[in-house]
Amino acid sequence: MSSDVPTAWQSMKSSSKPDRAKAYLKLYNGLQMIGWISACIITLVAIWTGQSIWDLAGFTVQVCQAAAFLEVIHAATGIVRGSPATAFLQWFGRSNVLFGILLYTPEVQQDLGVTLIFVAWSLAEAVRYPWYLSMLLGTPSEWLTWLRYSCFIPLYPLGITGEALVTVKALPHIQRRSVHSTHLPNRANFAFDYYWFCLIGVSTIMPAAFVTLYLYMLRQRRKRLHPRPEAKRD
Amino acid sequence: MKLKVVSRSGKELVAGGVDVDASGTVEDLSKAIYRAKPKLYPSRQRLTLPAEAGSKKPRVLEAGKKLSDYDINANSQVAFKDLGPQIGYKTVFFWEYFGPVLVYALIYSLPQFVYPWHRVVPKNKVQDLALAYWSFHYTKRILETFLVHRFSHATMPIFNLVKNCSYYWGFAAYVAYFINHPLYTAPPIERAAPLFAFALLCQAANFWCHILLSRLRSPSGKGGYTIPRGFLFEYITCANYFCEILGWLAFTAGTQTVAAGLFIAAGSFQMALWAKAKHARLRKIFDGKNGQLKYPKRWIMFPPVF
Repeated sequence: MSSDVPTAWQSMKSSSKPDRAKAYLKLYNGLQMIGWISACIITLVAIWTGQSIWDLAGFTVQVCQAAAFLEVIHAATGIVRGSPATAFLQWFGRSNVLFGILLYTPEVQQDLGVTLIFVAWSLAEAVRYPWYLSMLLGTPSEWLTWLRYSCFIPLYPLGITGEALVTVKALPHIQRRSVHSTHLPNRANFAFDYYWFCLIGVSTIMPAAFVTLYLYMLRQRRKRLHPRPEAKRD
Repeated sequence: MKLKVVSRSGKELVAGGVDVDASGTVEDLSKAIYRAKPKLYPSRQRLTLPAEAGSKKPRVLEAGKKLSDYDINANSQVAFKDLGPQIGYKTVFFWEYFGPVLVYALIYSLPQFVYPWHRVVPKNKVQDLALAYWSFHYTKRILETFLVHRFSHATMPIFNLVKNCSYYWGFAAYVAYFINHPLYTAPPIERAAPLFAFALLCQAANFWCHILLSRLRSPSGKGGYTIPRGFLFEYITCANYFCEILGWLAFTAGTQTVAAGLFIAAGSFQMALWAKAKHARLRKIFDGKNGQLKYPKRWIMFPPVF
């Protein structure tokens, strides 16, 4: 799942934002930009030289994705518009694959799915964060805006395919080792089966979230790249 | 007079205007719209006037008032919004509370179908107590719906029925599944019983809060906003939520079940949002200016933290 929080694009531009919050957001988006561009370069180098992508780029991607939790706090404190719940769900979707599944199933760390995920995520973010940053600094150039609203067309399907691939391949290992699961009986009378959690996630929630987000981004793309000349009504 | 009623897109709802008597009431206007558009019964309609200078919110036309109260004349323009198909509050409340009683009782009494991979074991006393408390709680809610509560609105959008029922029925199944599980680990009854007694006490307090709240409104549900007084309301704006949450915390501890804790966590989150909104509204109305009462300093929902 992508982390394209449906914050209105105006949210970054809002001139009423206090200076300190604005300065902080510039710093945050700048750092994320550097992080994801590095992740992107390392991933491409790994592919080029035929080395393990997870071993080479895994750490960088994990740091960037962990730091992205700040975006939930940005929404919660109101320095960026948008719902904190949505921000959290989008952060959680990716983090679940990265920290919940991949980190605990070494068996799939070298899978093709990881390649797809790392390429899709890092390329998308290496465009998104520079765009946010230039939004905060002024107006982004036309080509950057075009990239920001076009990259997702191939990258989202690529990413979701990778995420689904990794999840499905990890399922038997999760079940066998009972990863992140507790069973009855216990004193808290609580049971949680991560295997089912992932199975339901990959079969229903992931596709639904993908379709919703993809259509949303396509609408945004139409709005931003081909704005209709607005005829103001009285 | 012919009154111009426009929808949000700016289009006139009834071409040529709605015929209504200048000395009529808002209800007359609603009925006139209903006559012209039989699909749009009055409770589906939201009628507003453009915001006054200095205010951002449009003025909502209230059913009991006269058109002249809002200075509506032949030149006025009323904005219309279709609220969608409506359903009675009491209907929704009945189904959302009846479901949990049924779901819980079924899971309690039919373990051979709910837990087909486990041998059926006799129920523990704590599990019996939990069933009794659960059933009592939702029965109380149903009775309150019909005998105590006074609703300011008669209806709500029909989608709420689906939404509310999924929430209550779903959580009932989730909580009941764990409490009635053949592998359930019960706390000692000596610890559980006092906790259930305390939970019952909270329910009694919650009931008293509801009585006090219903007295603030006339039987028709009208009465605007009044400062709730008496009992725990002297300290907490939403004392009813406070009792409710406390009761469920005791239930969680009494049954020693995380699922019940998650249920009350979700409920508390929603109640906190409502409580915050109500507190803010009361403080705004009773600001102590222009002869208006000043809203006393109170906790919003849960002393000493919120």
